[in-house]
Amino acid sequence: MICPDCRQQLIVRKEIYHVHGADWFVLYEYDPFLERLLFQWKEQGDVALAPLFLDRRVFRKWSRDRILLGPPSSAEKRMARGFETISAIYEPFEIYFPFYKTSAVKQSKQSAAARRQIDQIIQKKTLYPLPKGPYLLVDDVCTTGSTLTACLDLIPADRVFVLAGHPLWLETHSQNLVVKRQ
Amino acid sequence: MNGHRLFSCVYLFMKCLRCQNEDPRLFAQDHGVWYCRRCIGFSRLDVGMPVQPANLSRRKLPVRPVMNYSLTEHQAQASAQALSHLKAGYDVFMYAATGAGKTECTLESICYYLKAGKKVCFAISRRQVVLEIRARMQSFFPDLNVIAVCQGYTDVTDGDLIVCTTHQLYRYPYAFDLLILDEVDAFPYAGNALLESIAAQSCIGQILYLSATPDETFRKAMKAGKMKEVCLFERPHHHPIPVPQIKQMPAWMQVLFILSFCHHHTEPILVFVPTKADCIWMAGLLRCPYIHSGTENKDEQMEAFRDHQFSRLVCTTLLERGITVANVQVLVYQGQHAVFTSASLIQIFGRVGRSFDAPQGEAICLCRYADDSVKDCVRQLQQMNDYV
Repeated sequence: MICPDCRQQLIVRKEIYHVHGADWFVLYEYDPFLERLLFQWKEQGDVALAPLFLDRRVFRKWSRDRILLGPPSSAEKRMARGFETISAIYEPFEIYFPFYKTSAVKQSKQSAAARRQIDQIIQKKTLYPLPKGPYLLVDDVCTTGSTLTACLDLIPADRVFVLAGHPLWLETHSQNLVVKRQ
Repeated sequence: MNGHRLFSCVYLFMKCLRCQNEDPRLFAQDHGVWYCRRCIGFSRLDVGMPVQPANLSRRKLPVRPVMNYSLTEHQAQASAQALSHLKAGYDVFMYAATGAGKTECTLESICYYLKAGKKVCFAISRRQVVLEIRARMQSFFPDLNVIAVCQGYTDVTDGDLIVCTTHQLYRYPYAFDLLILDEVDAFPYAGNALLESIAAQSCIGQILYLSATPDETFRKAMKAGKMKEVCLFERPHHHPIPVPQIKQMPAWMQVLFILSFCHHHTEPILVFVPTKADCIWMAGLLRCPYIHSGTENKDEQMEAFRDHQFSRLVCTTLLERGITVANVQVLVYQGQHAVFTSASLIQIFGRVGRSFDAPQGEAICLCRYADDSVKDCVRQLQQMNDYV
């Protein structure tokens, strides 16, 4: 999918932070290189990249005995891309999607201040059949963490797994670092 | 033939209709549909999917360039020769010395094609130069809508005359009757098969290549008659192109020479060094700013140097092209370093003597020994002067 030299450019973190009552596992740092790869996959349709992102061995360990929950996603994007991003990243693990957005807001297009209002937009689906926990909340990129904390407020999970953490989030939560790079 | 062998045959014979990629390793499958990964950066194109021609406006534009100066005799000759070959249906390589005014030599051809209602594009590798060329073309053709298409300027992609980076040519398949490709020997276009394919696909007519340093591919093509060569080696002020003095000495002596030179000269001085690390310590020694690819405020530094806010600037080959500073003197440190190819040295010393007010200047190549690139640079520049 990518050559060994390019693979070396991925900044591996494999760190655990304790934030908002849960342990957050961050696999990579979200840098321009990873951003470009994710864009090439999600928006340009390079599906060959999909298996690249998740370290399944690490994830299997972190997700043991847990029900996986995904954040709310956009139906329009799903239709345009032809796939659900979170399901594709975490394949073959089964993901439940018990959240939805009350308005079509794309976090990445919002200011940092607006992102923090996301808790007013994300709601829990009332008739969604969800197995009993414990739960692991998963996502692709954690920028401000607002989406994930809003989800945690609605359905408490003791663990979170993100593919990549934004450097600013990592720096802001450096005091919450529980386990440094494994 | 069983299914597996048939599949293998189909797999091996796949071809991308945009970038002409035929390497099976560069194709991937998505639910039974094969697509090309080599040019996916431009957008995904599935195998077998035709590339739709760009839908651009066309109208007859009988324009003449507005210039407050005339072309020199050599420029007029080169311009006429190029147009003659283009009319005959040939691609043309305009082999022009640095500072010879090759952009002006394209105006006659541009006018001819626009008058016939044909589509013209001026493409160049570097984004900054796109904006500069766009401004110049707009001043030459004030009645035309001349647009720039490059990073940050992609809202409008059609105009009477399009100036773009070579990357942006992917937007224009089968669009142009005349494609002017400037600096074809420069990064990232040079040696990039993907960009070359996309550029070739954008043109349905003739291509006019511009460069002061043709590589072996172009030389062979010209020799084989696949394209016509037009030479322009005289600068508008009629002074010869500066040929660098080669001074062979150990590195420590080169440093002393540079210090002494800077001490004894008041004119602006550009000191080219091989690496970013060299930039930093050399600039520290000379107590002056430096520019390399990692410098954050490159544009501001260059502008300040042009405005004579400081008179010494250390830089890497990043500035080998596109910078024009009146009366600049150029020194190259460690000229035998691999980063200084003959093309690079020709471009670097081409910074000297570009203006009418200062048609000459010092061009000095300091090196531990004169390697093939240094010798080739001197040979080519001398040949250009002899030709004139």
